Amino acid sequence: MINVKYFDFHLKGKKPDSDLALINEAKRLGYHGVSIFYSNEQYNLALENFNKIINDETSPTHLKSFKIDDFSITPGIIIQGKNPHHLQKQIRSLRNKTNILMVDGGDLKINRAACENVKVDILSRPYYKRRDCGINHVLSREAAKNNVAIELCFNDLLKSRNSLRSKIIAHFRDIIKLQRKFHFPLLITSGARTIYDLRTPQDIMALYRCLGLNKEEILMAISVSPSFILDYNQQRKDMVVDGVKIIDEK
Amino acid sequence: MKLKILPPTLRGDKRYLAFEAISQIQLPRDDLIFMIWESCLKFHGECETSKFRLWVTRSWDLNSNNSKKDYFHLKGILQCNRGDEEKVRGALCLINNYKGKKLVFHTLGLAGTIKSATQKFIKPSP
Repeated sequence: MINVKYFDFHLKGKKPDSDLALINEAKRLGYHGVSIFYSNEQYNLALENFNKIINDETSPTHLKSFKIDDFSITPGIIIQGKNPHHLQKQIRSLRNKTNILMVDGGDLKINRAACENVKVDILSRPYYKRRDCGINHVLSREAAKNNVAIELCFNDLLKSRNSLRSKIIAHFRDIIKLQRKFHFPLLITSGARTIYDLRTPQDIMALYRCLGLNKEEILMAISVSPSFILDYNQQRKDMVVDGVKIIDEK
Repeated sequence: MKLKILPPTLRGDKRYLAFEAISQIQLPRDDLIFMIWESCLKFHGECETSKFRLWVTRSWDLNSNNSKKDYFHLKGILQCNRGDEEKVRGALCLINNYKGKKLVFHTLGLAGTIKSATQKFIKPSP
């Protein structure tokens, strides 16, 4: 039997204590790794806290990801771009600072700038506060070309009601339809702030099967794509261009 | 007069979902049943929910064990129609608050009998 590793790639970080409770709960529910996101201002402080709590004094202090037993924790930065120019400036300055870079979507110009930028890992919630799903065939093609993952956030479903929830489900279906044609990476995340927003991977799979995804697609979104992003970003600094990597002879 | 029970061949197939609920308020059995039905009705609609044949078979209140903690914990077994487990599971995970307080449902597992659901997920033997 294949041992599938489940990842929750979007937890929202706040305070060190509550973040640790969130991580422990994710571990209890059966996840193998999480990624916890902070704004640029909070990121350094969070990294210091993780270094203090998780690592002992002997380990290097410049780590960008952490491990408790086999459970991986990867802090990331979420960028809220005001306009495409501001977004690109932020991406340039923050790319080397963190392992995972996420852009908060919703605005069409921001969505486009994120999809066209190879340095972005994830475009979060392109449908946010919109009447459409936020991406079309052009953006889908760009996202697939630049390997930008599109995120479907479970928290949006959880916190909405009635007609708004049905609209979000419709947006999810539109994104899934585009994903089936253009094959950009898709991510299913919880977007959890508290332990009450977290669900087991099996529950999340059951829910998304109700929304029209099949089992393989869900496994890709919850397990394969996050693993790929983590592996790719560990090699990113050695890559000259896509497909060319500097190999250390030692 | 009570109707005679149907023979096993004519009864519908069932599955048992073991679940746990963690909440900020105490959950009486009636409220638990109301929440499960409400969530299924809202997510799947009346026509689809009628096929699920939902029934909360048993529930265990585990609050006496964790009196120091700031949440209430209970476990239970939910009976549903075989083949509709995924739909019920999907609806259960969309429950997130009740009477203005936060709560969460986690499905612990799926079993074919009440006995095996209890032994495997509710009171696992050491």
